[in-house]
Amino acid sequence: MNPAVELKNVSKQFGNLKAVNDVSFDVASGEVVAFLGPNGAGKTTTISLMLGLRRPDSGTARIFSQDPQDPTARERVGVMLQDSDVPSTLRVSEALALIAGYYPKPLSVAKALEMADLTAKASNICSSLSGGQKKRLCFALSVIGNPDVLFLDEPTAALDVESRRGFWQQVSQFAEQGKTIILTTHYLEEADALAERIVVINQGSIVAQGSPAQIKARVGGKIIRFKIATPNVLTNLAAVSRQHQVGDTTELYTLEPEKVLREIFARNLEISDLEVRGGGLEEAFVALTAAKPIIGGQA
Amino acid sequence: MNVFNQIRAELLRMLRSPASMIPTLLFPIMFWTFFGLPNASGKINGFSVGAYILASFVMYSVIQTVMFNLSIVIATERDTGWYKYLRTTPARVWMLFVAKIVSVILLALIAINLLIIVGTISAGFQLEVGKWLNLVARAIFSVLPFAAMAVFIGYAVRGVNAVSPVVNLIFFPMSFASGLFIPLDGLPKMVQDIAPFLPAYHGGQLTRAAVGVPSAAGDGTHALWILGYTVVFLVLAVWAYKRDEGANYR
Repeated sequence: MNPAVELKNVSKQFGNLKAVNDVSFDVASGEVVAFLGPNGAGKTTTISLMLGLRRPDSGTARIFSQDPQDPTARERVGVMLQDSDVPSTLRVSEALALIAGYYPKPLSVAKALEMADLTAKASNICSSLSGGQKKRLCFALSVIGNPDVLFLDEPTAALDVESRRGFWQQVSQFAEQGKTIILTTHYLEEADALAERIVVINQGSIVAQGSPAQIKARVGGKIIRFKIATPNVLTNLAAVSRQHQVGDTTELYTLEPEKVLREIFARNLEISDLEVRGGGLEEAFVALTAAKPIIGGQA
Repeated sequence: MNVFNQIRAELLRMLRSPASMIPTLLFPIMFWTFFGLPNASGKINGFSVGAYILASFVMYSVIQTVMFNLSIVIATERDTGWYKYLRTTPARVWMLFVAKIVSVILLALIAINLLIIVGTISAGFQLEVGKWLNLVARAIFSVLPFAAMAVFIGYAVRGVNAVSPVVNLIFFPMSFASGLFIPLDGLPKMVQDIAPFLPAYHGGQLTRAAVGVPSAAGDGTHALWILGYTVVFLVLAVWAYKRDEGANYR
């Protein structure tokens, strides 16, 4: 069976910046794939190339073996753009009806509203919606055409935790209908919650891909933070990838926090305000790009 | 039909925006009340002075409606993600463009017909149906170069907030210098010499001719000026559009 989405040796350059550098991959029909990467990694450009919003300098992008700019390909695609916004003076239901008209077999406006949990806001003017509601409207707009492939570019950026979880539920329900979903995110947690496969992208290249479990093993770093009067005693700690001093607070970056803590306690060091947190992805990507790419776990 | 839905959406967008509706619908009527109405009685050389002023104001109204609304709609779209989203749907780019032009023309029809109704009633003269239709048709024809100019400004100027000042800077001096607010005889000699090179001057000549005021150089000549300016600004509009496309969609 032909892949739903296909990039072959795609490159895109803006001025001196290689936004996407010789990227190839397929997304099978019905697959849920997350593109994970720090800001500026090339995720949004990759999505734009898949959607035909931009043309690759070299290589080809295909949706169901068609040029993504072909309207018949677009009839099978739904999109939630990162910087998308809503038409300020239309009512929610008017905006949805307008877009539904462009698709051959759209969902009903009522169904899309229900999927995005926006039924109560149907007759509101779009600009009166809250930030989270606008995001939900963008989601409703992305599914109104009943697409076979759904693109979600940073769908939960700027959402609070609760709204984010609600959103994941809505996306999961759509995925259960056998839809192909491609999303970008810089939250490992989000990729883990939704995707069957994670593609890690940095500086325009794929640096790793695999199942969420495989990726988490690589980028699941933690930060141990505490105060210590004499930071100079913290030498030769095993499993610490980087040490960082902020004022009187020490930060240790590690993939194995338990091991590091055990050693700190074993050395009887006087520490206070101890805190262990998920490491920033930025940190993890530094580690990932330095290491050899891992590829695996594909269907 | 999709294009009608899109036109409807564009029209609703403008009709619901006070920032668009007040200048579009109220300014021409306000200016008419202040400057037109007090001088609107009597006849000169057999034509009604009221009709003369009203036809000038119709030209002013149609230029204002098209230039502001079209350039702002285009600049707003470039600034926001809604248009980018539309371009991911099966909607054709040309259709989105046609919808913008048609919706603005429809809005202009509302504005000028409202002005004609208020103008004729307040000044107490009548405009025969034939003259009325002729006036409206000539106003829409004469606005073509301004529509192209608006597209050019919308794509050439950076940032939606910069559009209104730019349009104002072009539009108000040009309307004055073309004799749309005050007849040219009342303006300095230098302005009178420049006026025949301005598109709004030729629009004014054409719309006034519809209500019985003989045009300065004959309808054909004025229409050619309008078409010439349309071509010039279309070329500029296409250039600015392609530059924008290149930056955002290539």
